[in-house]
Amino acid sequence: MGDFVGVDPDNLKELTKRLEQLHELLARHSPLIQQKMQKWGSEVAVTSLPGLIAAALDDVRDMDARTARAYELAREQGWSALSSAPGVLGPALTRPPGVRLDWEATGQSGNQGKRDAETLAAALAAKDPEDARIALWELPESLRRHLADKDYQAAFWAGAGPLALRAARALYERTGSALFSAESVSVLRALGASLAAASQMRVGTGEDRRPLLPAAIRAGLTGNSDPWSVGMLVKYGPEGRSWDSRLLADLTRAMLDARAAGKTIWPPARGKLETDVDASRHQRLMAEYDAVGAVLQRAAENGMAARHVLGDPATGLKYARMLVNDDWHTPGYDPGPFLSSYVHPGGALPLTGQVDLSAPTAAFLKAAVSAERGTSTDAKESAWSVVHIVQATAEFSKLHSGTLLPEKIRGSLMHVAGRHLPDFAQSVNHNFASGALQQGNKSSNPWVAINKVDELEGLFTQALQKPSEFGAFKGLMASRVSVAVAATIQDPSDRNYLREMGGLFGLIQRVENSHHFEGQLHADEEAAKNQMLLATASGGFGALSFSNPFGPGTMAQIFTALGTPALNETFDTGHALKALKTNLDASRQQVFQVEVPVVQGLVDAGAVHPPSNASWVRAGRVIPNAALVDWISLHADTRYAGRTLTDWITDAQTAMRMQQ
Amino acid sequence: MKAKKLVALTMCLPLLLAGCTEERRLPSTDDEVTKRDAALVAVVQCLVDHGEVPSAHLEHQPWLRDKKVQPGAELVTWRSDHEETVYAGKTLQVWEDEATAGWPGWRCPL
Repeated sequence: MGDFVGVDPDNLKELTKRLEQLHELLARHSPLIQQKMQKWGSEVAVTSLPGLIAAALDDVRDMDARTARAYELAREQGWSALSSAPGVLGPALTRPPGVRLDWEATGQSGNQGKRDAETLAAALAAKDPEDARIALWELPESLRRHLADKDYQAAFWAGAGPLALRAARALYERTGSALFSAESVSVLRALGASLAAASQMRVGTGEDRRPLLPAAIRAGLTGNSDPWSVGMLVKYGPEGRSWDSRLLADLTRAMLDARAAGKTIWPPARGKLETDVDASRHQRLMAEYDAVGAVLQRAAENGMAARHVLGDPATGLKYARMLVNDDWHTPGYDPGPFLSSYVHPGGALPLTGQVDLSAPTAAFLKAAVSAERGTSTDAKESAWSVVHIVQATAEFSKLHSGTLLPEKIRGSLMHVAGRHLPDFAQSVNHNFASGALQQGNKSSNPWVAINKVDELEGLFTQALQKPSEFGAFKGLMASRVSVAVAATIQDPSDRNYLREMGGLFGLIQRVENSHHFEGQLHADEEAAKNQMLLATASGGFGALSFSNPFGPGTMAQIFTALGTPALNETFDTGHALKALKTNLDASRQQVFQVEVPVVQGLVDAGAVHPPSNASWVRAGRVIPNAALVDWISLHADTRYAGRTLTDWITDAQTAMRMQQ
Repeated sequence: MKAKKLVALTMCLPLLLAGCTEERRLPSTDDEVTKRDAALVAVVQCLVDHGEVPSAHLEHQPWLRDKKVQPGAELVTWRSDHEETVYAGKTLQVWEDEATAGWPGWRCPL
């Protein structure tokens, strides 16, 4: 402090620029320099190079801060860049006078942050987007340069205050087709990036360790005074993983609460909507600048943020109820006022022009259940999210019987179910209570979701509607037969996955029966089931090691498996299980659906060791061909892991309710 | 353990088949589940009361408080891990199925 020196602002600016170029050059070439030095066996220590480059960037920031201060001092002395010089017509560029500044104090980037915050505050307070834009044109670059600079970030967000969170409202265009100009977008992007970076920073040590973002900012973010503006910072800010997951979770809760409380979450209306075209355009504008959707999208990208929200045992269900809903669209408008009085004499008409907004909601629901399975806290939150989503869906089904959730949300529910088959399968026969816990109540086991069977029924009633959806889901379950066989053998507990899957299959069938589908629809279901069997990547047929996924070999295998008429003989010859069936078509269907996955499971579990020259197995994956049928026929009574092959296959058929 | 499990798996097979071959349209699923819930609690209580469940299987099990079986999600996941475990000559699954079939008249036979 107090180290005053005289400087020429223009010269200082030039010096800063050259320092910055030097830093850039070094940063760009440093990998090559290190590589060459090592190659030449240089004894110069290059390991400190990255550190030196980082220090050079700090120097650039310091000099930049001093330069900004020098110009500021010059302006305080009455200098203006554009002024009328004597004898010259019109404005001309003038050099600033020399000034004296405190070299040490102004060299700290915290000062720059403080000044940028002041600039921002003044510009936003002006309430004129044009003025604000001019005042802010240098801000994005400064914010970007200091993204990783804690001193700057702390000073900027402390100085900018909650006003910065309302930048979107100050900057939006009052007319025209776009809501934000390119310059405004640049400011919002930079502010969003800065906020995201700051959200991940911590200050202090030990017990004093706390978020760098000041309490006022954090309160402003979640205080809902202007949720739409906050949402725009998130929309234009970086991808979800660049944010602190806790902050995104808090933001999500705040947004959902604001939405539920009927607060203004939409972009500001601009002028009166004169025509039907205006009204429908405004609906599209609402969809494009949807603040809640923006936050949900970022939280979904982050993953953990979504799990913090729905995985909280105390509040997760409340938010799951808001998300699992059919109201994810823009409000729509009353077309009445735009119709001639002849057509429409008066009174309110049903709202029209709603734009679907369920995509971010659906993505959020998926992310909430997609933690890696295991014993981690993240896996725990994921399991609780499953419990809550199932409960919320069941409640929706009950309260709005006959109402369908949006397609995308139903897709997420199927994702939840597909990812948690073993959880649902162990839950399916009981109706005690729901909750997340560790399998068998052992702390070394993964977290699982247990739901009451009533709730599971409610979930499937919503998730599965069309015959093709039932077919696809059954196909998915059938494709897991091999995994279930292997898991039953390998799991150290006395659990029978195959049997539990059978129970779940029964529930799906009950739900399907309640639909009373007709004959042709059943054919659709069958087609979808077979398609899913072929497409599923885990276990079963999806795991076939096709070397060329779409080549002629693939189709040959599929046709062989499907038992096209030309290949009927191949399938029927010597098939020992044929005697069990009266209907040959049904038999082929079962060869396709159960035997291959069963053999696959036995191979996976190490119970079957295929001969080295077997053509029905390649790289550990079982291939449905004629040789496999022969092998199965010859080994029908051979015992594997204590039971005959026929026993295994029959049990799998039973579990999957495949008897004709 | 493995062999025992597989034997048990085979043992329960006829029962499974019997339950599955008929196209079941239960008059009320709720009734079935309510019976099954009550039967499971009674069966486990019966086996615990008569010392048929080894103490290692009951360590740190939150559903057992003061030797009383508490219904809940914790019991469901424990049951799953032991469905093929043989207690007093039968797997837990068979115990549960038999008690459900006889409910509400089922009494602990031990």
